[in-house]
Amino acid sequence: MNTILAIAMVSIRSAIRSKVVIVLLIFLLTVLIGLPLTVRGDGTAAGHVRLLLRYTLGLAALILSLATVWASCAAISGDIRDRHIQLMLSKPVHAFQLWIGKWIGLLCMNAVLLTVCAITAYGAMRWSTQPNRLSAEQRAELHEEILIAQRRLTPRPANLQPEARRLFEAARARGEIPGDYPVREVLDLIERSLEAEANAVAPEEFTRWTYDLPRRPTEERPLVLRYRFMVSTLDLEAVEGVWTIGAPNAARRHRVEVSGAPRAWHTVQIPAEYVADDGSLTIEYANVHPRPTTVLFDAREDLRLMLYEGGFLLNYLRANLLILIHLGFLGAIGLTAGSYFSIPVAAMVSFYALLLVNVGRFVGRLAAREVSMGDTPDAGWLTRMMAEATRQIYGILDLIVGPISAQNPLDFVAVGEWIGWSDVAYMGGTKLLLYSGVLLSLGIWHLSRKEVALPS
Amino acid sequence: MMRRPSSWILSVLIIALVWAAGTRHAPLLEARRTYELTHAEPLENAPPLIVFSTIAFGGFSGILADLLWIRAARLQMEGQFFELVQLAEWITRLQPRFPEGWVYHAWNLAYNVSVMFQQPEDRWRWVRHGIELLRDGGLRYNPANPTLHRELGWLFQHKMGQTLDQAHMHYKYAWAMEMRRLFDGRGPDYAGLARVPADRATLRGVTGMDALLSEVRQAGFDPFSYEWPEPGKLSEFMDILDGHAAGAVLLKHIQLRMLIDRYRLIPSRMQEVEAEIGPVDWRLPQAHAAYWAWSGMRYATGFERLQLDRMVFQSMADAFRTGRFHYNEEEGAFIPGPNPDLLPYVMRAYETAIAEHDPELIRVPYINFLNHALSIVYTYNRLADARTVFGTLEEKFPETVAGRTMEQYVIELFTDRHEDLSDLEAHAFVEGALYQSLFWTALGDLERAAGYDRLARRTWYAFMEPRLHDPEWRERTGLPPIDEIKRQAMEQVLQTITSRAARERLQTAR
Repeated sequence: MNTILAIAMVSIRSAIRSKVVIVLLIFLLTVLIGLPLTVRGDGTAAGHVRLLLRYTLGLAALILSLATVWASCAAISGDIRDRHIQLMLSKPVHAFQLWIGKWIGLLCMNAVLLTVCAITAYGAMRWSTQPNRLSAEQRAELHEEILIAQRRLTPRPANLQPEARRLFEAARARGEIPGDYPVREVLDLIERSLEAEANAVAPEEFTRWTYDLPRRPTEERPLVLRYRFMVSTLDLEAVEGVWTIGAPNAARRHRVEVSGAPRAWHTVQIPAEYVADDGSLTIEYANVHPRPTTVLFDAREDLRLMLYEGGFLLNYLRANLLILIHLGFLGAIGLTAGSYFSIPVAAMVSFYALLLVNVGRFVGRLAAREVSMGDTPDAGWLTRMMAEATRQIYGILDLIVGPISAQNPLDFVAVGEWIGWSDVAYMGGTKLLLYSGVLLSLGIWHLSRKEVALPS
Repeated sequence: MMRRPSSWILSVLIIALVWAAGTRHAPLLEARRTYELTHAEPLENAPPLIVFSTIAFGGFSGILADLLWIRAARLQMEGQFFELVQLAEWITRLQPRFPEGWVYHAWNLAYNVSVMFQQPEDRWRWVRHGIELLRDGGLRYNPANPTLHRELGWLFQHKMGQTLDQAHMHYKYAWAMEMRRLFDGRGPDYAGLARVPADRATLRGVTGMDALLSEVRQAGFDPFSYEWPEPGKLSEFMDILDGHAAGAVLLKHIQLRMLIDRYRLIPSRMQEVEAEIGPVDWRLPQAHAAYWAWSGMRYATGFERLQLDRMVFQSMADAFRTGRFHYNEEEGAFIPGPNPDLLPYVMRAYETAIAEHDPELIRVPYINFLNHALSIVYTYNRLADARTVFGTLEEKFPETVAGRTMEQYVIELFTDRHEDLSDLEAHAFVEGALYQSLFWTALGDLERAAGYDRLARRTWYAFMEPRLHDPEWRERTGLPPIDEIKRQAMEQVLQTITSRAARERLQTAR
């Protein structure tokens, strides 16, 4: 352990001595202080704060990511190139200790730099939201929508598979589906169509959704339903509707008449007393618009029940921990790539890996047939075969990057959405222990076999 | 620390070479123009950040702009609008010579994003963002692009000037409140502006200016920020100016600089526009639509030129119908009304258009305009104008008049058309009839006055009746309360009546 810490200390000292850390810190602080002076929000205090949180810290995280990739690639590869590694490995130091020591050194430097950035960004945000700078209305909006941590809940999904299967079989029996159509794809389409139907509210009708709450809300912090909808007509006039909260057989139900424009976000407050004893909440939307218009909801995205979980500061801390975990993971990629290749090649490989992680969700969509690859039923067999092979490759890639591709944590903080400790633990476990562990093994395996004293 | 002499030599060499490279910049730009090496003129007078981003990213600036564009589209789809202004700014500035980028983003902010909000104030913020993007960015980097001029004019003519947006009245009101801080009346006093010190050095030469400037600064204001203080502090600022002999000059200087630098309105060009389209009210959007169309004309040819021509033309007609500013501060009533003074200008524009283009294309719009104009000027008791309009109808479109007298024709216009009227036309009719009623009251002909009053009320009720059960329609195209329109008409009558007896009769009738 002492050896690992000694190597970590040497890495930190050499980074400080080479003024890399100081230059990076100055650069980061310039960005953190300069950027808020140049970015333009939408003209509201809330918009400015969101932009501040997302852009300043986001840009700092990006700079740190790039610096980490480069520094980690250079950490081992540079030592090999400059032959410093010969001095190191001639001592009783195992490749494992070298790798871990360098990684801890990088992680510590990132932790310090990120802490400075996070404190500066938080200070800038607090400074720009001083009570005397904002009206009471603006302050309320900030505290209700951004400086808060609310858990986003989506309605209980309906099991549409049996019905989709039944409709599919019936259509096939009628000869409406050609034999060479991919069954899975057709079933998916039917299921999606059923889902859209289940979330549409025809004129003078109503639709019901149920949420399962992880715990009961308090009286002081009622639930907030954030919703938006589309309409079957082209105009954007306000649509009238009625929300009824509470189970159909409940003694008391809460009725809220609403009128709002399609595609815009609207909110309805839901007092805690309407949550059922089993922790479920039922809501109904009745379409009472005077003109015949069907109201369409995307239940997974557009019907968000927000449950208060805590204050902003802890959420902000968790977001920064997630960033730090990501930086640690990038360090592991860079160190392993540096064990195999020279600095430029290692950097290219690492940036490619970084790109792959960032587009992980798109890769998932490619693998899940959500994006067409030209393999329509009337396409030739070669095209279909190639598309299938490509999809398999994407499937494997998705298997690798899927578990670690997540949305930018700052996106959550900027809209006041909760990040759980479980998310931090999951990402920490996956990225730092599992994936970095695999990378560590690959790095050490190669490093311990690599001939590092070849004549130049 | 540079210890070795070679370091010093290299440093000097670097500086010398950078300087030498800098001296080649202008000849290289000239060579680009001469040999037509690029499609567009080299970007000049742009801020360093823009120059840096366009040069440093080179061909990649397009890719970067695409990525930002994708992000903007995704955020917009998710209903997260707060980043869109910044993203639009970056996207357009990465490719400042790509007019379609400016046009799309300005349109998107002003039309697509604004309607996502319910409150008129929120909507107005987004319409403004669209205007500012085109005016302060697009036209800055593409000053000779007629499309950008047209698009900017369109935002004034259509988005603000027409009634299709639920919040159109708020747009007009908010813009008028901004503009009226720049002028004492309907527009700038051009002769007065010419005497105002245009720059700070000349301003400082005015007697007592140094003392005033230091007092303004001591009170916490920056006189050269060219921004009005916050609403709560504006009166304090104005009080300081009022307390000094040089205050009026400083105020005029600030107004001039804001007019030119912030709103990009050049007084000499405003004067040109007025010479062409008449004494328009610059507090209302039609004048600005015409201004931007007029500004783009010098760069336009072919169809583009025709479009700008039409915009000027349509703005004039709009200004005739609803281009008079009326604001009752105590009541908070803002009601633009017809501006009959513009009649000869609009008629001249139609006549020119008939001479220059296919007369059949212009015929029907011209007849419609003359009919509408006749009913307005007649009810405003501008009988000479009414005779001119009716004479034109008789001479050029005799089949329309079909041998009727002017009075017969006007009565038919009033009684037959109320179902086809737009809200602006209905407002003009009602106000005109009330004007007549008050005018004849002042002259002592109470019978005639009562007739006009009845006509005004009947038109008001006929127009509003179908809207009574549709709040959305009523809000968008409904008329103000009839008493408020009457107050407007009264202001007009009081301007035209000079005799004491007539004024007394009017007061008694009130």
